Amino acid sequence: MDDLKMLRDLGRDLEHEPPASLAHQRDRMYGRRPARLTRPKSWLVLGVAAAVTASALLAPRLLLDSETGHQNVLKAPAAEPKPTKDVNLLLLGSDQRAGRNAKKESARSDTIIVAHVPVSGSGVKMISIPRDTLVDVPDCVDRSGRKVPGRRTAINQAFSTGGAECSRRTVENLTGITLDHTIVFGFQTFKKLVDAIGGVKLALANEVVIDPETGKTLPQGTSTLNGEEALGYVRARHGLGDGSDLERIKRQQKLMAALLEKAEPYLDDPAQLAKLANGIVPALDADPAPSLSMTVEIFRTFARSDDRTVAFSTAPWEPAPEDPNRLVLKQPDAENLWRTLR
Amino acid sequence: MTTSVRSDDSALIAESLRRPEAFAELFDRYSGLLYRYTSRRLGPESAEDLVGDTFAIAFAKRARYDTSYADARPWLFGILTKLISRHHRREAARYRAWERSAPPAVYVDSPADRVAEGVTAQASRGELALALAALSAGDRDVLLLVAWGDFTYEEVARALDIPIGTVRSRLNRARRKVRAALGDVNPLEGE
Repeated sequence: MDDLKMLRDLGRDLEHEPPASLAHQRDRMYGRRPARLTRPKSWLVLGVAAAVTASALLAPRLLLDSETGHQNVLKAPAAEPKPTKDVNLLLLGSDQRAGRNAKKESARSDTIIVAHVPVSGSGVKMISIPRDTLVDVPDCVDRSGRKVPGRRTAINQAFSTGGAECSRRTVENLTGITLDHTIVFGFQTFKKLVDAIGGVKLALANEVVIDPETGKTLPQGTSTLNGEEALGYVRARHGLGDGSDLERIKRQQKLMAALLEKAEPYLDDPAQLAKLANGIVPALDADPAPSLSMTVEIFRTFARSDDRTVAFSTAPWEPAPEDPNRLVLKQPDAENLWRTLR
Repeated sequence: MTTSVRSDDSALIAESLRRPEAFAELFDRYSGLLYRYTSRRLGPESAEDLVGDTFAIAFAKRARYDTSYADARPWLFGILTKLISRHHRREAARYRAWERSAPPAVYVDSPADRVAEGVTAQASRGELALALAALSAGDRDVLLLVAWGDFTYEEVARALDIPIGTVRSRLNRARRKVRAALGDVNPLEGE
């Protein structure tokens, strides 16, 4: 084995497989903003739902396999329609990558949302928990199967330690809410979904630098963001408010609302609804898919509900007494909030 | 005239002057290859954009392509390499970060210890990553086009638009530094 051979081995370790979204780059050759030759397919609207809010609708049918929780495997449901009770979900945004290096780089989850879906479908609530919130993380099992003793630390550490399963138990401990299902979204999925629905419209009060390296910015005012830009917007840390996680949460919520708005017209059309569901299944392709009929049923419930609004909020917090850079949930406000969801 | 199903890259590029859509075929042929190479050097986050940028630039400059070269890969990698070089600090940081996550070095007392060889190769890879991080941008470009891009010296010269003698001298210097970082001794041959 010589140095070039070793170098090739190292290269293989560092390599990632191209994602399906790479094909989008082809259009850029013919101009920065290529005219869309085809209308965005209606199912793409699924993106709206799938990626964010409707995940709440879909989610009752997606089961986190507790045994393989680390891999964030979403299991197909057993045949059984219609939720018969309120459903609480844990949504985790993960930067975990698919492919060979996935295990090498420890994934983080900086987006933690408890979604409450009433049995009526009316008045869905989505509550973000700041990633810097100090919590008691219970004993968890890490990737290599080793037990990691419980400790008091920032809530986003739970995911790095023991994956979705550890996050779920941590949030259950914190809120006293039984989380029926856990769904993990990758950044790439999110990006694809935004592109799929033809972008989202956002009004920006200021110019936003989304890539400090290239200096790429989003202009002040209303513009339509593609997936890349939307992702840059939610992840941006510079030049926005105080640059904190709390600012980031606000942007996520704003973006989720924009996605919902874009999807809304489709909810009234049964044919579109079916297509929407049809589209969601392949869109969640990275994981084993939920059943189609079930997905349709859940959308119908939401579409028929009196109140289609989704209320976004952030769990009440205050600075942690032991560490000014961390937060703790503010009591009794937080407890009062969780109680309404149990 | 040609019996091959697949036309030469140069023919495609020539055709794309009349029929711009033809260039998309070139994208389909090589975008995956360029992506994998870029993901090694800069990680997957920016690879997609850089591949897109590469083809956008290539498309804009296609009229200047020398169609006496049937294979467009050196040309495309030349464009890509220029784009990657803008990120050379981040590239070095990536290798250093990789090294930190690699297993610690294990020294083998006896070259006959076959079991430990795999471990040593793995450990040396950390040293290798650090050595890569420390190379000058020009030397690294040449070394990686050869080692990871599988290009010949002639193709590297064409890609980077430098004389072939420069390719040789940069490659020699880069490999010398890499070997020095590995202890100047091939751990598996126990020179």
